Amino acid sequence: MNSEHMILGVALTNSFGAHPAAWRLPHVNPEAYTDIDVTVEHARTAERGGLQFVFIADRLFLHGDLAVSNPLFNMDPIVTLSAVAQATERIGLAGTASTSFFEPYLLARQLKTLDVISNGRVGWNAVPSFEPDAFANFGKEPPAREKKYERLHEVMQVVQALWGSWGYEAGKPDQQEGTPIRHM
Amino acid sequence: MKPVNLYGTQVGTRGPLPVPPSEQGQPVIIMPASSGYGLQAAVMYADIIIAMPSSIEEGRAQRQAIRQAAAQAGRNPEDIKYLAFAGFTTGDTERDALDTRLALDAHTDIRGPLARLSAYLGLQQQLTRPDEPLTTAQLTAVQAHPQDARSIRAVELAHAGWSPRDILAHAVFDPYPSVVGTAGQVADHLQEWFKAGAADGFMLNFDDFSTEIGNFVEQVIPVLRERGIFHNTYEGKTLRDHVGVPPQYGVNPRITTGPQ
Repeated sequence: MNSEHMILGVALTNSFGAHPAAWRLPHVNPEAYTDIDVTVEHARTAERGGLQFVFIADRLFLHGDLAVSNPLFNMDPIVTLSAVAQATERIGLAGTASTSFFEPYLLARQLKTLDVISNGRVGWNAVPSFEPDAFANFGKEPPAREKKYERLHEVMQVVQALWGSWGYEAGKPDQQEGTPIRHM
Repeated sequence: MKPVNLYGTQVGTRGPLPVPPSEQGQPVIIMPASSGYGLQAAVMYADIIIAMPSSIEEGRAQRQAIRQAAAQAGRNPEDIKYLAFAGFTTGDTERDALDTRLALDAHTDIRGPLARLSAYLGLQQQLTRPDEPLTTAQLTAVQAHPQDARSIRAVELAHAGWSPRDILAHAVFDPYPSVVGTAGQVADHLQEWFKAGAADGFMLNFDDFSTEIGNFVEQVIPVLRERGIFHNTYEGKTLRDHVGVPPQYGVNPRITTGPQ
């Protein structure tokens, strides 16, 4: 990567395309929104072109113009990217996860697991949710803006501290010596 | 492995987390461009900031504001990559690309967009003939809203003789700047923004993934490579390598501001 070169990511927000009518094109499988092979194929095409990453946006509620097309954000981005990770080698895998609802231990664990199994290709789009519909799905009222960002700051720092808690100095397990990693 | 023992007012943890470092240490952080609280958070944590500027000028201004705020937060501005949304439909000719878009637009109701176009062109009377170029009288009456990139573009297209339906097929009302045209026109857009310092890269959006991602890879990428503005292949293995952001493991020690 040098600064003479631009970075290109591709948004794969649903399985069809950015146009709400993409699913109606005759060459498109209208059931692709649950077909992981379709998402994998898009990611492999992008990888063939050397694109730096695929990106999956997310919202945590039924969303979209349902009179025209299926809901936009139906499948979970992190689970989807786990499958894409196994079917690709180099392209980055960027997924959205809200900072507003999940405990940082869970976020840190899922995202770092995905990062380890993809050999270091993960990007986390960390966003605070703002929509009342999303909070309703967690049985909550939307907080004031400053409380929302207070939580974001805490979540970011706790997640990153957890990521750093298995230090490089822990080393690797040694089969010959019968020593696991250094736990403390 | 060490416990974390970090507790805020809303969340906390004892730790440690028994997952070892990945090949890039830990995931790259992406955040949306925002203002106020959101800008402050993004310049503290994000390696990549994704934005939706409507013009080169807006992109440059926002990228500069982010770089300045990053320096104030103790970061090196070069370590944050600012990416702008952009949309593309490609064809062998501009007409082909427009026809591809029209095949999609045919499934949507044109009345709303047509009314919106009339307003963006500054016309007092509604456009009623979507397939006819504007009359001389209408062209005399059109007036762009000077601050609105979409309005300026719509007026340019009207003067170039495109019908209202074709103006709309140029994706003038997509939520981000879009090009419906040849691979060369798409590459021109990316190059112009990139060279003007309006973005370090782009978040690409395609109307129809099944055809357009492949078209972009086969037709636009070679042009960008020929012009020396896109890498020939992946130089590294990790996302951190691909986007050129520095190693980080755990919390960034350079961040000086704690939770607000």
